[in-house]
Amino acid sequence: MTVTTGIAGPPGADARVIEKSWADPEQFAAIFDRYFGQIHRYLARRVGSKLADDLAADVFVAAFAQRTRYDLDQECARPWLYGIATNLVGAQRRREQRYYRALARTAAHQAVPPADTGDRVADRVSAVAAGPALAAALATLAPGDRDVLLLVALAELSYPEVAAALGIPYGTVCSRLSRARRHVRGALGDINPMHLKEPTDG
Amino acid sequence: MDELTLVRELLPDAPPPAGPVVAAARDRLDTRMHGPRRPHGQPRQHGRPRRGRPALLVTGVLAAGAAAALLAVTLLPGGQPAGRAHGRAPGLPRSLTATAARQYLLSMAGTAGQAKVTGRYWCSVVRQGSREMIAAGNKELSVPWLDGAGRSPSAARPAGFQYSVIERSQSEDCLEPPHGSWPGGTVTGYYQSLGAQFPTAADRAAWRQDGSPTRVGAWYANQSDSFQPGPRLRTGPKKGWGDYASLPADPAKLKAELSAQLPGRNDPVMKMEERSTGWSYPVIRNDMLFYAAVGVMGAPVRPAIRAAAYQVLASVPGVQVKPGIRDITGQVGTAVWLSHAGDRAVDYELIDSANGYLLGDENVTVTHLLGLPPGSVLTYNERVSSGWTNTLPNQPAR
Repeated sequence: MTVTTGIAGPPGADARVIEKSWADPEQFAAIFDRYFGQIHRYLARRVGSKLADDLAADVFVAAFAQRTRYDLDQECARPWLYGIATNLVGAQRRREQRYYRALARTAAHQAVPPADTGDRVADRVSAVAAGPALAAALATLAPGDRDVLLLVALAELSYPEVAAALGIPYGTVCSRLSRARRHVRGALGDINPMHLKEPTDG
Repeated sequence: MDELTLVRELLPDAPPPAGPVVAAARDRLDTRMHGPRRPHGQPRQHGRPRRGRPALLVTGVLAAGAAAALLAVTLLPGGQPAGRAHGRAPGLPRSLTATAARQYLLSMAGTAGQAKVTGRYWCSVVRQGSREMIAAGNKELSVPWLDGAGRSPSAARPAGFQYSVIERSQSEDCLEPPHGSWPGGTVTGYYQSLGAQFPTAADRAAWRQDGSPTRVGAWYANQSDSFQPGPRLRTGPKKGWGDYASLPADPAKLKAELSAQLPGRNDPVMKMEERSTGWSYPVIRNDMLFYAAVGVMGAPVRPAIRAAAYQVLASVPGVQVKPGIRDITGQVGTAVWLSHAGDRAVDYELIDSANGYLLGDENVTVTHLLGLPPGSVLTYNERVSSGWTNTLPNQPAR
C-alpha cells in the first residue's frame, strides 16, 4: 500500500472525487491520501497524538459513510473534513479538557524550542510564559468558541471555511472568535502586555 | 504576539503521523470501502467488528458493487423491524445446539456444492439501509459507534435524540468471471440513493413535530438526507476479479489461505481492534475468520468453493444457527452468526437453505441500545434479485 500524508492534487478536484466515490467507493482513497496527514496533525495538536491516531481514522471512516451527502458545490473537502474532526473531538470533550489541564502543568517545558532565532524566539518566550494560563484558558473555553479558535489558529481555516466546517453562520464565527480571544486575553492577565498585539478580527 | 500565535506556540505542530498509524487508518478505510456487504457507506460494526477481512475479500471484484453478490433483508415497508413469525430474533437463546449447528453447516456445504452456474453473468440487485439518528432542530446526531468507529455504545438515548430515519440505497451489479483475455470483473454496475425513510410511525410523528423538514440530518456543514431518490449513477465496468479464481476448493486449504491473510498479533489493525472491542487476539481472529468465510460464501465463486467456505464456517467455534427467521419480504432463511458475551446488537447472515446462497444480513439490537428497543434494525441489506443470467440489464439514460 502506498501511504501519502501530504496534499496531492488540486483541492478543487475534491468535489468531483467525492461524487465519483458515490458510485465507486475506491475513489475516496484519494481524499484520504490528500488530507489524512493534515487532519491527524490538527487532532494531535488538540488532543495529543495518541488519541489522534484513532480519531483521525474515525474522521475518514465517518466521512466515507457520509460522502453521498457531501455538498458538491463545495469544491474543497478540507472544511468538511475539519468539521467532522471537530465534531469527533466534541465527543471527546472531557479528554480534550484533561489534555489541556495536563498541558497547563507542563506547558513551560513543552514550549521551549530546541533552536530558533529572531522574532520566533520572542514568540516562544511569550508562549513559555503564557503556557500554563493559556492551557487553562483553553480548557475552560466554551466548546463552540474553542472549536472556532482552534480551527483558525491550528487549521488556519478562513472564516468562511470555519462557517462551512461547523455549519454555522459567518457572523457566528466572528463573534465566537472574538469571545474566545477575549477569554484568552483575560486569562493571560499576568503576561506582559507588551508581548501581545491587538487582535484583528475579520 | 497575539492570542492565535500563542495558541500555536502552546500546541506546537505535530510531526507527521507514523507510517503504521497511516497504514492502520487506511486499512480501516479500505475495509470500509471494500467490505463485501457495505460498500456504500453503511455502518458495519454494531455488535462486533467486521474489519480486517482478508485481503482477498477486499480486492478486485468485490470492491465497488459486487456486494450485490451478498444480500439480505429487514425493514417493513411501514417501518417495523423485520417480522420474525418463525422465531425470536438471533441473539436470543439459540435453537440449535453446537453439534446441530455444525451439522447444518456441513449439510449446507453439500447443498451449495451441487448448485450450478447457469449463465454468463452474476447479476444482483441489493438494497441497503442504515439508521441515522436525528436531534431536535434537524441535526443528525454524531454517534461514532453507528459509523463503525468502535466506541462503546450506551443503552440510553443520546442527548437531544428526536427520531430516526433509514438512509437507503440500491446497488445493481453484473459480474463476469475471467475468461480468455477478460480478467473478470464488473461488467455493469449502478448505484442510487433511494432517499430516507422512517423506521416507525413514531419516528414520522416526531419528524412532523420538528417541522417536517424535507431534508434531515447534517451533523456537519449543511449535508443532509433527502426523502427523494437520487440519480442512478453508473459504477461499472470495472476490471478485477481479486483472488477468487485461485481460491482452493479444498476446505483445509481454503481455511489456511483465509487464515494466512488475517492480520497478525502485532498488526496495527489488530491493535486497534483490541482497543475498540476489548476482545483478545484469538477472539478477534476467530471473528475475522467467520466473516472471511462468509465473504467467500457470498461471492460469485464456483459452487465447490462456496461449499468449502461452509466447511470453514462449520469449523469456527461458537457459530450460532437458528432456522426459520423470516424477513420482511417473506423470505425465510436460517440465521447464522457469531455471538460474544455482552453483545448488544447481533449481525447475522441469512442463508437460503435451498441452494446455500446468502439471502442477506441484518444488524439488529438485542438489548436496549441508544434508546432503541430490542429488535431495532440498525443496518440491513436486502436482496431484490440475484443469480446467474445471460442477459445484462438495460443501460439507463444519463
